Amino acid sequence: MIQKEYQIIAKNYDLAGRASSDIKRTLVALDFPKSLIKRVCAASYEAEINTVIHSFGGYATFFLDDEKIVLEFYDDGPGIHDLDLAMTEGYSTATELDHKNGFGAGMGLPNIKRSSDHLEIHSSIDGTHLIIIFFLES
Amino acid sequence: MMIKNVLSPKYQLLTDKTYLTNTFMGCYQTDLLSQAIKSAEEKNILITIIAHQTTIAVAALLDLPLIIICESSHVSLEMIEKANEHHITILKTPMKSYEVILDLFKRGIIS
Repeated sequence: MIQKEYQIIAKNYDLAGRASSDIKRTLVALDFPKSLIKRVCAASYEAEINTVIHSFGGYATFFLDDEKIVLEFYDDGPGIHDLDLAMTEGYSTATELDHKNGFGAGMGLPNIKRSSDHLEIHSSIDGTHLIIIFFLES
Repeated sequence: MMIKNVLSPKYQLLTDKTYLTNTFMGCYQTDLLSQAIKSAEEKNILITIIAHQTTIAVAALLDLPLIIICESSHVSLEMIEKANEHHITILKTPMKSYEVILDLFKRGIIS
């Protein structure tokens, strides 16, 4: 079993991706299949960038056991106003700065859903909590 | 094919020469990094105008060895340092994305 935790700083694009890079290094070192690593990294990076772009800051946790990989992202708000819209590819509330950095195309949550085996989203004005699960083949 | 095969007077090498012998296969063009996360394949060249450290983070996650920055977008020193750290090559060109793809195709670098 492995557990890790990462801080994510709001609006700091320069540090965005640190958590996902470490998760990738961990999975590569443990010799997981490349296809699984790509899926986990895709979901992780999208969730991390979402936290950077949209939240007041937060943190991520990584959990691995024999059956699954679980990524959880917690932030301090302001929450997702309309979850159905947020899950629609192309819908985004990102700013011009986000677009200049290559993000904010409204693909984050749909990409996370597509990449993972299970996605759970809890959101209120106090914050958003994402639970992303990948089941390991026995 | 090796990255050094892409070099021509139209491309400016911004990163360490050491990685020019790294290989690539095919290319993917987008200015939306989420689209790259979705669709780029390992070893692809990433052709884009998005010159930011996030571009390197995405390339590192996807194992993309070469980024071609189009339309002479400004590339910061921090981005170059981060690319070197991840053994990723950056080439900068005044060409537009479609011109880069045409150039690579005409020279037999992509098919």
